[in-house]
Amino acid sequence: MSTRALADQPRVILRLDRHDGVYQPGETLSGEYRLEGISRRDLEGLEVSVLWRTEGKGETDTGTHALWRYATELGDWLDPRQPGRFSTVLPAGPLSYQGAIVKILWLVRIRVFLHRQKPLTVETPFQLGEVRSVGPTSGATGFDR
Amino acid sequence: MGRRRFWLRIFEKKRGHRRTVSPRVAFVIEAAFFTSLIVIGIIGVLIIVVGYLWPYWRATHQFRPHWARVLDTRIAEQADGENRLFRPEIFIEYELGGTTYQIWTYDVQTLAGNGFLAERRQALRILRSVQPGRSYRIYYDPENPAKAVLVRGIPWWIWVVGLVPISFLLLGIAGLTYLGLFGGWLGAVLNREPLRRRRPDGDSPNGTLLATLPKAITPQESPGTRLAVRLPVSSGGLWTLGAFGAGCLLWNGLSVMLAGFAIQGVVRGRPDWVYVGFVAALLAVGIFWAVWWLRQVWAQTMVGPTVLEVSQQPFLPGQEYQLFISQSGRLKLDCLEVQLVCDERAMYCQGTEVRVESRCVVSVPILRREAFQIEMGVPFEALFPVSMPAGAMHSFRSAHNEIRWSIVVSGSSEGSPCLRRVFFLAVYPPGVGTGA
Repeated sequence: MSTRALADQPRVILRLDRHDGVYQPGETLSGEYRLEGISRRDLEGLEVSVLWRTEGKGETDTGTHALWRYATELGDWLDPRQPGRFSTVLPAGPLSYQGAIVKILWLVRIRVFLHRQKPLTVETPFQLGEVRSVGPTSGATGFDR
Repeated sequence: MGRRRFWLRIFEKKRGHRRTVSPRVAFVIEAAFFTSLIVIGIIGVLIIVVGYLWPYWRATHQFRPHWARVLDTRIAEQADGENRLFRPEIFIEYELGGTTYQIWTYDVQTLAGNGFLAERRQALRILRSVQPGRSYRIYYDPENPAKAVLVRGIPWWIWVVGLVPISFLLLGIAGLTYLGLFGGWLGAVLNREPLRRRRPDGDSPNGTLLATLPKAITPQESPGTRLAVRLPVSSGGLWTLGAFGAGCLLWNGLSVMLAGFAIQGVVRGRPDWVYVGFVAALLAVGIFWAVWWLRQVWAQTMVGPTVLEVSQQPFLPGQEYQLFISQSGRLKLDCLEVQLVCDERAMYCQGTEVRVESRCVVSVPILRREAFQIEMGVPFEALFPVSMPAGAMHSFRSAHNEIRWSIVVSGSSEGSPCLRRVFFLAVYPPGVGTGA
């Protein structure tokens, strides 16, 4: 599973090690990212996070499970030519959920901070757990199998 | 690195079919609106208390009785735009501590330069009740004996007029309380920062999960008599009923006050029929509201308490638990139903309002009894199993979104609902300790 930034240059390639993108609580999520078209001079910082986010009718809420930050101004050595890896043990929840007006999505997000440019953001969703989703109509009275 | 935006953002990007206003702007506008209501209410209350209630109260409770001779009477007039106002004034003479006082007076409003009436005949009616040359009981101010009144007591209309600023005050307080109730939302709005500024959570296994799970009630906190945990009934209905009752009281108070003015116009022979019709509509709504509210109160009070106990909290998907229900009161029920319900609740900003939408996504019947009667002192009791569906979503609660499991006890009598009690459950995901 991979996601590319919309812009041609520069771009971020993010790939999870498991191709189906389905993980169970307690399993290890790992993956790799590569930066293309970015010079070391332009690269100011990089942030990798594993987080959940709500979607649906309500305002968006987020919760960060794991977060790694690297910034040249903090003395971190950032080489855009070298691919990076990340790994974390996934929590017991909140589980991925596709409800009627509340949805919970898990994703890996990479933000690359460039000199005098907008941050470059790439997100790759994955599924945590297997919750049976509810029907698409209101007033559902059971589970969809 | 990313730059933080410092300008005040009025609109955010379009979400679906609506354009959301900035939550910060919405909060500021709402807070300013409700604060202004409170300020108006406080000013109004102060005017009524200081200008009217306090002088009347002093005259009633602190002025001392004495006797005075009425020397003369007159009607004072004052122009109020095109209209003229009239005030009865009575010239009295009395002696206190060797000093003789002669003053024009009637009540404390007369002493303060107010107390004018719309009708001359009203003033005349008052003056006809006194005869010059005769002695009458008066009440003088012990702090200033030159002040005295012939009548005392707090007129009823002060309480009615007082409802207006009090309603502003209550609305303002309720509004700010409402904003304050969404502390999580406000906190999220006011403290929203770019992700890079947050403290990294590292690899804490269930750090974000536990913050999103409702606290499970332990047997120590709420022990049951038949099963381990007695669930508290949701008080949301009572709060709503109380809020509707307060609203009903305010509505009808204001309507009665406006009706008084309308009746006054009719009695004078100069009715404003548009105004009368408007007031009649207000009264009709008020009566309908009062009847509805009284019926709700009646239904709440006549149905006895519902006790619901569970064998364990929290529930886990795919597990079976025991439930015990006890319903007391004196009821003839067509149907009593117990359901396992899951609701989704989403909070969102629309304009300057914060709206909450709720949708039932799971409703599993657990128990159903039809056509039976509950006698006073002999509650209906039942012990039965409940299975949490395997693969069910667990409880979830964040600043704007919630997944809420509950046991809903509902009943109907003579074809109409008479009972609905909600008991919230904590459902945890598999693998999370029940003691979490």
